[in-house]
Amino acid sequence: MTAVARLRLLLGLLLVLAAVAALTVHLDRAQARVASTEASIGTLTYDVGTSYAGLVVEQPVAVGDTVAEGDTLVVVDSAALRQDVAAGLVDPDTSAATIDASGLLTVTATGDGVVADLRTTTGSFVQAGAVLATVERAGTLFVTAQYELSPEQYARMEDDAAVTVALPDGTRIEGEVTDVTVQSSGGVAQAVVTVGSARLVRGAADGLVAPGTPVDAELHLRRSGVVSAVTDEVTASVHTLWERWRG
Amino acid sequence: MTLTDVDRLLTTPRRTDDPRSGARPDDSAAESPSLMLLVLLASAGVLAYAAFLLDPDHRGDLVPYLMVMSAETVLVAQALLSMWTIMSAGHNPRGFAFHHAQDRLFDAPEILRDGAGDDPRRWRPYLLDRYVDVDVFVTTYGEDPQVVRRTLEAARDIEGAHLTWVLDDGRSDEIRDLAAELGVRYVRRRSSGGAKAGNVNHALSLTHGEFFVILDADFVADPAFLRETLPFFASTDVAFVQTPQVYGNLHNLISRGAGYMQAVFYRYVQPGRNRFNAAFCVGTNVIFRRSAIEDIGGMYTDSKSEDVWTSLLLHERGWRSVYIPTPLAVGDTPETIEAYTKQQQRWATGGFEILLTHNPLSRRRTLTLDQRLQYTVTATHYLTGITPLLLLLVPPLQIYFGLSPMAIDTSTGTWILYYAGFYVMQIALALYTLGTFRWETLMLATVSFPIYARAFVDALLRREKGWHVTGRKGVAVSPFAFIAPQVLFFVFLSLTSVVGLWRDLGTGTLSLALAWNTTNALILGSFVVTAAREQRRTAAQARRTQQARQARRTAAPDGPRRARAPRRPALVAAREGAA
Repeated sequence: MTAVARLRLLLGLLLVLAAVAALTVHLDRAQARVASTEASIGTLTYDVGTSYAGLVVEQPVAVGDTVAEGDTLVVVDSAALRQDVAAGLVDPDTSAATIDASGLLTVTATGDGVVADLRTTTGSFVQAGAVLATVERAGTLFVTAQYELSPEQYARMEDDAAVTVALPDGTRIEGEVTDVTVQSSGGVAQAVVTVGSARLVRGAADGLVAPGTPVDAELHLRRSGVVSAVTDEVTASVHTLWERWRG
Repeated sequence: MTLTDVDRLLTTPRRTDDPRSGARPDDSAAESPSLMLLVLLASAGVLAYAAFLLDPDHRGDLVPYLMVMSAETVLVAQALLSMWTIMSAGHNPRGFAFHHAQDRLFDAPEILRDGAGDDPRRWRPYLLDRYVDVDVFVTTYGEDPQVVRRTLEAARDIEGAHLTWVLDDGRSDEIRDLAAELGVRYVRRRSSGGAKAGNVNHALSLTHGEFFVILDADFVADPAFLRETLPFFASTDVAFVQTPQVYGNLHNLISRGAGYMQAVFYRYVQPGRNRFNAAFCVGTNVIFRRSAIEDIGGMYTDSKSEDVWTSLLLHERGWRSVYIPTPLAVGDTPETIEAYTKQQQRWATGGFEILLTHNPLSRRRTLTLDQRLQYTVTATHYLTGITPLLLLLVPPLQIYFGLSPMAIDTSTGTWILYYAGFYVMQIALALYTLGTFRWETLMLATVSFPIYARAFVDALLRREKGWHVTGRKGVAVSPFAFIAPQVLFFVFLSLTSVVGLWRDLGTGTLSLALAWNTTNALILGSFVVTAAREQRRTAAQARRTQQARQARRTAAPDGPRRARAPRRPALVAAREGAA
């Protein structure tokens, strides 16, 4: 066997070792991740309504408008209210609506957010107790994701496990688990997970961050075992070296 | 009491030595009705397996699915075609013309008149009542003179008058002296262009015999060689008569694997091809009609597989070929990894050359449909050798990336059932046809993919790539120089098995991928062990030769060179091996 042949064999062996090492790290990482079977963005909402029947005389907002607390959403002209005010039955100052002496009821936003739904139009008659509008509360976007986890995987799921949310355009957002509900069937844990993230800002990523957007949510499990330990150790020391080298 | 040769000639009515004439044991196996049943069952198994793979419900991830599908398509198609060929093998090529010509091959009164009764070498062969000249060529290229001596003696002693020539491309003076000693003619040419085919063509320019026999330097011919082959030429359209290669050196793993790989070919495939008039020449143990070879302008020299190419060109010119499964020469099959690798690469390159440059299905070929199909099988046969490469990579894909070729809900039991339908039946067929199942053959078939892949690339790029590993002449080359890809694959699969075990321990279920991968790693491992053993053996041998040479030099610097004791007669070993 010539020296060249020996060298080639040796190089080949080193390449194989490197490939197996890389593939093993990949496998270790892949095992610490679970893909969601279904996930989408959700949000908290609140409804506003009227306790008096009447005619809608003004509606200055449209669906999708951003509103601040106290902004007018709907103005209702109610004869019954006028009567009650005249009789002194109503305190004009409630938090959700302002009532003036002429019997106009102004329904206002009780919190910052975005108008998600309006159920009336100007000139229409509304019944007492009707819901007039739905507002998505600002800063409450979250992701709901479903997972099928083996018992072994479920055991490795931490309370505030990290989740990588991938939007349809490929943008990634890091979040963490805030709430978990689990049902078992056939030895598999069906987990519904709520993921919160400060980076879930409405309208980000060209408007893709909005309630109802389907996403992929990858759940990160606790990594354990030799490979993880070694990988982490190596990554950490490389990182340290890098930092030191940069000064 | 046995009849002497000349007695046999005088007996009337004449009959061959074997009273069960026409039912030679070598021919009969292919005619067995049970074989037909087995072939039918195996075909059913193959079809069931193909249907299982093609069922869309069983399809898994795209990449491994495509890998498995392309590999299995080649394997299944080749299995079906070869079983079809085997089914066609029950056919005796000897007809009336043959027996008639055989009876009149030697002229008994002439033999008695010449007083040549005891010397069959002087019996003049007659064909169609005309005396014919026969040349016997023994081609050598650096083989051991002891081996060449054995071959030359046997070639010289073939019964029937003929001229024996040794065509020495190795330009060895030792061989020249040997030829003089044995009374055979010696030819050495100036160039060595065209390799063996060029060597034979050169000899044809010096000789004038109407027929010529080609024997490799290690093939010891049976005295009856001409008696069994020459009569076929009574049909004037027969270009050559090929006889099988039988091996006398099935004493190590490589030679057994390589030898048994050939056995099916020589016992079933070639007789089957004979039925299609598509049996091809295998370069040795063959007798040609000179005018046929002249018709195509000499032996084909542009390929290292000159034998298959020459046959193909002859068939295109309308010549007929005959193959008889009667062993008439015993030789050696490769017993080292180096020899095996080179042999397989040479054959596979020849096959791929036909596939890539001379498509037998093309309209331009003047072949019959039978011949087209058979040469297509030849051209694509070595693709089956590349398929293990794809199949070996499937379990690692599943272990590292979780990609599965089959749908996850296909149960292991279902899968094994169909898989067994294919492979177990193939093994059963091999068991029946060869009388034994050789795992060496399976091992060699699994680990030889780098050879065939390399041959394919060589044929594709039309390049002729030698090996850069061969060191000084006479110095044993380590087998590892030839099997680097196999060693790397072994290491890769072994490590992958460890990783797979780690993964499966984590998930708590043992996967089929791990079982497969471990099996593959073990097969490659056994090959690597074989290589290691071979290396130890050759190293020890080299040491012994070195010591012996030193001892000789000190003891008798000018002592007469004495021939070593002849090896055990090869024929005996072959019979034992075949039993």
